[in-house]
Amino acid sequence: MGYEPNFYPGTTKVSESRKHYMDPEEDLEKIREISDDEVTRLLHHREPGEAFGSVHPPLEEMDEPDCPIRELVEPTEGAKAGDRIAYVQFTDSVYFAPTAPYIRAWMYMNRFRGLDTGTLSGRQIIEGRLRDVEEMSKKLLTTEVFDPARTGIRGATVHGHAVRLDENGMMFDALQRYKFNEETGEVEYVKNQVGEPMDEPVNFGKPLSEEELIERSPIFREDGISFSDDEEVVKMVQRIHKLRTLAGYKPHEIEGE
Amino acid sequence: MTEVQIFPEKLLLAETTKELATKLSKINEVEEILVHGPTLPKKVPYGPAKGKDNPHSERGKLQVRGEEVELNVQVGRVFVRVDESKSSLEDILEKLVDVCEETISCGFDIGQGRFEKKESSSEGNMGCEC
Repeated sequence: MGYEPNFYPGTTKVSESRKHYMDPEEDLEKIREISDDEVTRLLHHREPGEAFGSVHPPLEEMDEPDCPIRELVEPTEGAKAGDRIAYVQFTDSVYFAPTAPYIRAWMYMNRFRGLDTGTLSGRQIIEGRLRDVEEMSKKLLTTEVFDPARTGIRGATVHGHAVRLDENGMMFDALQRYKFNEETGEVEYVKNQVGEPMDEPVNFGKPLSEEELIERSPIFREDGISFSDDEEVVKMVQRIHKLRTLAGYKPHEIEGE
Repeated sequence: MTEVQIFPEKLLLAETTKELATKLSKINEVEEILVHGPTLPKKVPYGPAKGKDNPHSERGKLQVRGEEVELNVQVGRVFVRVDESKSSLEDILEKLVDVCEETISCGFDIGQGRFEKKESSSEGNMGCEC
């Protein structure tokens, strides 16, 4: 019988949600439609219809040296075309956002190729070839990992993930890249990820309800599912803590553990 | 000098803040109102759009006792300084709670305490723009 990765310990809904996001065999549920041009406008790296900027000629035109790794690894579409590096960055509220920065890192590494990601307390950046970043962004914006009220596309001035939500249930954004439309109950992006106003807003639809968010969220919270409720997770974290404390980077040298 | 803190469960929208400030300022015992919350910068502070205008619907102007005051934060707390010589603290708190219940759409905590600094400290000279 082959090895089956567990992805994450635990049996609570939060653990199941983490496993779901990390498992590349499981599809992310698509919950909204956003066009390619709208993604391009939100990212601001180029105008819709404009050619992708490049830093080198297409790989086919380059005389690359013999290298077994180059033969082994299939380049991404962006790398093949020689695209320049671009980024997209997301902020996730601590108030039951559909995902969280560190979960994003695990998820990206399992689901996407050709990217560099960085985790900070309230935001998660992806760097990669421009067309790959646009493709990844589209998946991340149209599926269940994005909620227009609790997740933000924020290239700069990201502050807000640990701030209380406003009266409409929206995460604070000093640049107000998105607005809640009280008449329709939907959220519209009116600025791109760096805070420049866009000619046309991008509609993200209605935010998920609190109940749905609690159901999907991979965040342990005392007012939701507490970390201490999941025995297996606590056991794993305590084991890592113990091994790290006693043996630093050489946990294998501890006898009996 | 007695201070009261109003701490809503959610950040207040500009409309709510305007209404709250106007109503609080009409209470006789209220001497000073201080609103606190994350800043809404007039210009984009970081990134490729740095220096460009930052239109934000939650920025605005408050009307307090006939004067116009700029609102440059999204309000998360309100500190109210009250004069206890005019009525008892219980009566004043009751008035404040009534105003909050009329105005704030979410839950809130209210309590008396000491919230402002009594004296200046070196921190005030550090030029922090937070």
